[in-house]
Amino acid sequence: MRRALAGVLLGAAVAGAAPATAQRLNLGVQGVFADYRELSSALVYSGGGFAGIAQLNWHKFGADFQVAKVNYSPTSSSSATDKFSSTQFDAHLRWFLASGISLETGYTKRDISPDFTTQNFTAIRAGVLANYSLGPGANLLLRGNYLAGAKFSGGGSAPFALELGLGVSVGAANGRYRITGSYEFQRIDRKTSVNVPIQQAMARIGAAVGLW
Amino acid sequence: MRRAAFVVLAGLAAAGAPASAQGGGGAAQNATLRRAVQAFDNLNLPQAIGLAQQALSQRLSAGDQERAYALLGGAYSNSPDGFDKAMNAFRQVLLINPERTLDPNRTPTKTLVAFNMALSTMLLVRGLVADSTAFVAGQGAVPIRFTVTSPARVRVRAVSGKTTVAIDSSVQNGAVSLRWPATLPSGDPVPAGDYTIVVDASAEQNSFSSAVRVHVAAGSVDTVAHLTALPGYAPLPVTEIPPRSWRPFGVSFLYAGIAGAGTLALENSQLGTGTRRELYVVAGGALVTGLVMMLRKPAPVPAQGNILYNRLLDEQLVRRNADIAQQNIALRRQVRLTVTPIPAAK
Repeated sequence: MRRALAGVLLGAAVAGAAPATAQRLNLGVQGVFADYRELSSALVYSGGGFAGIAQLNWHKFGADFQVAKVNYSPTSSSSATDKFSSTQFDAHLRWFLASGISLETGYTKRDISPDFTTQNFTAIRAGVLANYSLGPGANLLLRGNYLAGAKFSGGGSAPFALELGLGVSVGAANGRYRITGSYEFQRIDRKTSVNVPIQQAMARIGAAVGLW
Repeated sequence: MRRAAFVVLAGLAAAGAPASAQGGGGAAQNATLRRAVQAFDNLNLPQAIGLAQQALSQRLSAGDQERAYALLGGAYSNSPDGFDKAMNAFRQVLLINPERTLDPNRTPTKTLVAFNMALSTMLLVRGLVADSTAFVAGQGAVPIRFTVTSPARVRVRAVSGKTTVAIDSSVQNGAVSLRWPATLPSGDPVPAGDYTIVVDASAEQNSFSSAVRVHVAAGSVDTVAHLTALPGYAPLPVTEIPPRSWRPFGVSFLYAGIAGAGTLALENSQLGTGTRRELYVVAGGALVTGLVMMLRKPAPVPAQGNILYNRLLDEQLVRRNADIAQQNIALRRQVRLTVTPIPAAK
């Protein structure tokens, strides 16, 4: 079942502003709020922070790099007591196919501080990105990634790890200025000797500037 | 009978008057000739003949000589047995002034007959005229007209300095019309300048030459202006506003639905259910954006048909201008000749 699911490429993350075929460098800053769960419904965290994004599009190639710093605190319903901060780096490399569809690969890494509060996590991603232009200056993104080769600071593996994303950007028709919003949802079925699932939902709201 | 004699004499007087008037363009300078004219006017023909011959034995100007011979011709033609003498007198008139004519309405028939007989026995080129004209070299010609009084080999040429251009050589009699293309034997237009068109007529031992001067000016031919637009064809707008569409909201609803359904499907029940505020905020933003984009006036989009049409127009314009450029290259090689007669010096 999980092997079959491994073929499904879904994930979430938003890549800023410009269409895939534009030749432009976009820089953006974002405010972040997120929800993090691990092991059971007793370990639930929520938090906020800041993020930055750099996005480059060149002919059929596209790439974006995001860093998000989130300070998590246990929710009122959580039995957890320790706060932690997460620094997440995401890289997406795209190859535009046609009709707004791009193939995507990349890398994700999440560092936790202090150590072992939760799990550090790294993985390779592969999936597809759909980019639809709603009109001049408005774009909609939908992304699905499979997170392969997941590694955790506490050991274990995650043969089933998916990322799903939705994004929207609105701004000047020439792409110079944009307001961006993105949502990403990660489900990571980590397994050690027992199942230790991880789930994160993150929203980023910000603005991006097209430099050329 | 007396009335008939009066008519003849009145005609003689009328004939004598133009004869004297046309000869020098004014009154005779020689006193004897003036007396002869007066005697002619008084219809005293013997005295007029005598005085005219006496005047011819004196030193006369060309105009007075012409007047004297014309008076003799008129007087002899109306004298008994004077027809031959009248012809000889008129021959002398024509030698002095080949262009001499008599007004048939004011000249007695006998005098006219004598004059025309004299004319027919001489080889003259009369009434040589080159009309003023303007034309592109190689596409027009200068009209030349003249009259040859008897059959003769007529050679016509244009002379300017060392340049001599043969125009025509043929046997002619009577009114002749020629056209001179004003080109050299090579086909190039003649150089600008003053030209003398010479008509040489020869028949056996007789020959006669007449000439008229013309000025030939060379200029450039007007070129055709390039086109900035095709007449009657205007370019169409390259953009058009499409009809309003529900598609933006539909797609945003679809995308948000996929993200929401995917989240619900992927949520691990072992981890509980969260608030999903991250999903709601972003999906809500996507739906609002789609709704706004659906409701706002659609942005202009390229009108492919119009663009193709405009491209065709541009290609036609470029083609037409290329043709005009080629045409102008040919026009710039052409020379516009303007030919104007030069009035003869008096």
